[in-house]
Amino acid sequence: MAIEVPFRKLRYYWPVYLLIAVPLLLVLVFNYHPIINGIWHMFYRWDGDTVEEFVGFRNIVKMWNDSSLWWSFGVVSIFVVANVVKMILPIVVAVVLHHVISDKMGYFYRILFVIPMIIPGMVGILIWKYFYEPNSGILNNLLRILGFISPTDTIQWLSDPMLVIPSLVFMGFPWVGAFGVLIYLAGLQGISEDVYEAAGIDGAGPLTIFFKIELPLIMTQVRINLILMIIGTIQGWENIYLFLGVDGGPGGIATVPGLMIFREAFSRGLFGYGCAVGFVIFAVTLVLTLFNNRVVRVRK
Amino acid sequence: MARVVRSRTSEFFKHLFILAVLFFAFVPMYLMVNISLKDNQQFSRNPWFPETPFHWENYAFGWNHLGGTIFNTAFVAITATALTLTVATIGAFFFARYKMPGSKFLFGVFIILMMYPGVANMVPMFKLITALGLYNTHFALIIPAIAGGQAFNIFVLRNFIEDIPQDLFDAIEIDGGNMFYQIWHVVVPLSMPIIGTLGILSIIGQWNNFVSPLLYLRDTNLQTISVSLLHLEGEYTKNWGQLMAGYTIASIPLVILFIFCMKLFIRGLSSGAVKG
Repeated sequence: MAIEVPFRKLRYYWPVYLLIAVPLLLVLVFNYHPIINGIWHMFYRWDGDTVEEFVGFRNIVKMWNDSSLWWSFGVVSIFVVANVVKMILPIVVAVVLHHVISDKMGYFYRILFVIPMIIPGMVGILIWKYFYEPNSGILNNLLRILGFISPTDTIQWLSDPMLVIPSLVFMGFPWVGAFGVLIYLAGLQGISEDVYEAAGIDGAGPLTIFFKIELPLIMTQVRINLILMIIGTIQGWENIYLFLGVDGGPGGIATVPGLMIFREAFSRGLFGYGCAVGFVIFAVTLVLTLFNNRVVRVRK
Repeated sequence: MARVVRSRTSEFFKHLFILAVLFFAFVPMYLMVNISLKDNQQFSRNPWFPETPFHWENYAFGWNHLGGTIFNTAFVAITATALTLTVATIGAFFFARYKMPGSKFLFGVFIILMMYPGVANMVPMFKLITALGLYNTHFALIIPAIAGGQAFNIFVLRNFIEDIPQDLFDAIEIDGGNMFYQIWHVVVPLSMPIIGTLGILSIIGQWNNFVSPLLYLRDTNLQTISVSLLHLEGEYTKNWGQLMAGYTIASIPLVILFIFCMKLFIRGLSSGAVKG
């Protein structure tokens, strides 16, 4: 129960606003100011230093004609689609975990699922980079042992243009971040026993139960994860930078929009253009989030 | 009887499935620790299984290169997390206990930020950090982290504080306790589990932060773990044992954190820290 404070009582209650002063100041300076500054500089030729010249819509026209920018959004779409598919396994794992009869084993498994997640992200990425290493990497080593390639052969996972994007998609297999699994599990545990009993009496099979009861009930969590995943994927560029360097692989084939901002601004000194690309990423994220809110409705 | 047998086999397949997924999830960790104890000859002969003699000196090498950086990271992560949660708890108290004119609007000001892609801010943020004279200091990591953490933490904490019964606050108000007294003696003790979970999430986030130290720090002796690991990988690609020992050392602090906070961690994530 919150205390309602009408306008006329503000004379006594105004100090309450002081509670929000510090967080508000922080987000205004470190979130809103850069956002507005970025939108402003979208219309400038700016090297981040001495050159700062208003150029109108030149950066925007340049983006429209920049085939590598269009390409980068194509690449990131592939990653978004791939990540949607990757969401299936955590859901299945959570459902199976939910159906494990022994509570003790259920808890034990939950702990085990968290452990791989506490490996720092950077370490995980560098280990996968080692997996893909052509000469001594573990993947080629395995393929040699199994006889799929001859002992002297190497597969260039990260420099063959045909393999770069599939390699990036496959990274992190089996893609069960503990977040997903545990959050779905929390949703599933909210389902009361009565629902299952009723379903059992009606003779519903496991698949019917999954699609008619379980999936609709964790739809809220799925939707949140979907939104977070889409935002995360569209802004993500660290993996690609770490795997392939600032160029984004052979011929820049795996360049994503975030990597483009980094490259344009910090290696080429085109800060204004970087801001413009940043604004496009924001616009795309916004449209997708609104679309997602409309389409993936929660059935209660 | 038939039914029992069927459910036993289905139970068996459930366990098999979970164990298979876990097996693959653990492969990277296993190989990291396994290779960290090998020299290069052992590594090229047999990277898959442990083999004596163990080369513990790889860990001495890793610690020499990463020890300082781990202290830097711990300092940044702990400071940023403590300040983020202090500020966010006070902010969440404001939204949970009072309906002031403009409360809804102010809440929107924070919540919209959860939708804003941080990467779009990369360039102006860099300029802001340099303009404020924070470049190449740990404040360049800490202060933006506090600001960036407000939206999510206020959102989650508000839900929890709203559920605290009004009677508890009334009792304290009668005793003459002001707002900060209420926060310290009612809100903080009752929200401790969720504050703990949020704290762990924040520390993990800071431990994994890579872009800010890459952009805002120049000196090697200030650097945090992510960028240092990248440098290590770049310079010593040839000795895999030393490299993997370095990766293991970088992971150990989070493992320790996990062991001490396991219950908090799993309960927090499972109790729906992210509510619909």
